[in-house]
Amino acid sequence: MLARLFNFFSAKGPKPGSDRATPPPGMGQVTADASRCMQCGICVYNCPVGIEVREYSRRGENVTDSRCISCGACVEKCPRGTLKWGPAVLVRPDDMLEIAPHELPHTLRLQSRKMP
Amino acid sequence: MTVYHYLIIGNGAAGLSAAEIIRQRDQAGRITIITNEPYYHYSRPGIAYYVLDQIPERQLISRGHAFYRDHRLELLFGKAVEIDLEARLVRLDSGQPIAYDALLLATGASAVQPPFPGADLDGVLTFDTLDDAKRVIRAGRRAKAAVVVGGGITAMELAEGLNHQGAQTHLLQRGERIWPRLFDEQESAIVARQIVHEGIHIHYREELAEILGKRGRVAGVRLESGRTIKCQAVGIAIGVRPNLDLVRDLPVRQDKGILVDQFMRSSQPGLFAAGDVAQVYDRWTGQHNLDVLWPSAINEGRAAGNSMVDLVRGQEPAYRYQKESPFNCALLFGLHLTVIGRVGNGSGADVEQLAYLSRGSSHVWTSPFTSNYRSAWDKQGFNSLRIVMSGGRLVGAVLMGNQELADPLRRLIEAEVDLSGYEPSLFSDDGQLPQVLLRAWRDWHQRW
Repeated sequence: MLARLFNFFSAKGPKPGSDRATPPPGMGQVTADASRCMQCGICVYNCPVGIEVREYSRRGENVTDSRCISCGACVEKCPRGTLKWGPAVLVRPDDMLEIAPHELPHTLRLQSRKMP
Repeated sequence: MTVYHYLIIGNGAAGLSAAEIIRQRDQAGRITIITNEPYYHYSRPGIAYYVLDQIPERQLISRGHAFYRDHRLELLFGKAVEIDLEARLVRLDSGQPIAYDALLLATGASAVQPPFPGADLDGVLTFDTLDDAKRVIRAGRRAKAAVVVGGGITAMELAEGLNHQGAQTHLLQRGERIWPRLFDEQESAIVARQIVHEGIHIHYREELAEILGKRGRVAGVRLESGRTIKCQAVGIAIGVRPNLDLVRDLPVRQDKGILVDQFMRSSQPGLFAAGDVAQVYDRWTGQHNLDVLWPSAINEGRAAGNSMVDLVRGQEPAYRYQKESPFNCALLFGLHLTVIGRVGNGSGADVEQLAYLSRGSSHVWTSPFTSNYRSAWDKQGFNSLRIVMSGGRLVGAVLMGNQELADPLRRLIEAEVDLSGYEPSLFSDDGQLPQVLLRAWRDWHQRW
């Protein structure tokens, strides 16, 4: 816990002026290309809130953890370009919406999970 | 109900993905993994970032105790020394025999031992395992200067690591540019610029003749040209060789690796191989080839796991391993790099005579073409994009810097999409290559 707290304060965030610092318009979630990932764990290490980004990346899923603060640290640090900003997937595998449609910020587009 | 015993030798990407598949399909079976390293499963490619202090050791362990417990995988720390195919037994170095119903060899590949005199000195480094990475860090901190020999990704990772740890690093290249079999001249120049920018000296057309020692420790190197360089550490990355010690004297069909069919079966019933140690048929060259790649290892492991379950159940294997275009990406000296499919220009073949494959590469990349091919490329600053076309189809690509097209290109190559309609604009030399490729990708993608 202490280590995580330390990490929170010391984690080097995205560089100022970097285009990855905030999600581009219409891009609401961190997406992962599983074939590029080799599970080094740099994403987890740099995540200020301690999300197991690596597990999402292994399955090639969007980082849908509600604790994600969209800081972009994992996107910035990923050495193999596995993690990118992408359109949010707000539909669970059982086809239920993660949140109600009227709660969606206008920056988020609904998109089917089965995008290639 | 019979409880089957699946035995896996090797705790890397291939071995573990096989174990995962087996557990998915057979809840009751016993799964044992033998490893000769004192760690749980860790990310082998990740050690390149470990030596750069980008990640601590405990984060590299991607599958810890909980995973083995939850999947009921028995992890045995030991070294398998003998396989008895008749009795279906594996013997450990402790003498303990382990009976199995299906055996997977996922022993991987290790660095070719340096052929130079003085290779046994303290301070000579290879780069295979987490323990090697720890040695690299220790040596890099202690050494004033270090010399790295080799031309592949591993050599560059070693040089980057030693340099980062504070040693003045020299990189020896046998040819006159970086990785001549894979890169063209512009690409080599981009990588070389990054290396020099890091403060590493590159010596072209230089070969190591001898490692000089003093009281059992590395004190310098003598080059073929007669020059000597004072150094306290020597990194060797001249290629890897599959770990075949267990099967060398057994009647198992083998070449450079263990020859397997598309179900990852070796020539002996009950014996499977996957990962770096397996030599798999590939549809591009029509031969059995070695890959030392992470994604291939995972896919081969999954195929092997499925076939093992089918075998013990007495079923015909159903999961055919279709080899994908060999693909790798890396971050070298801050430069993103992706290599897909067949990109070798064949011209540098005479430069690199050693037949060993370097880690993180594939024979397919550099195998010479039988048909005509053309390549087009685009370069802007640190970004470079090169595609190789053959018969109207995209067969390979090298991307440096900007990786936006990496995923579209990989899919186009994998699906062998006919792009002959775009060929005039692809080869038009007007600097529009990325745009044309993007258009081709969108057109194809929409048709789906």
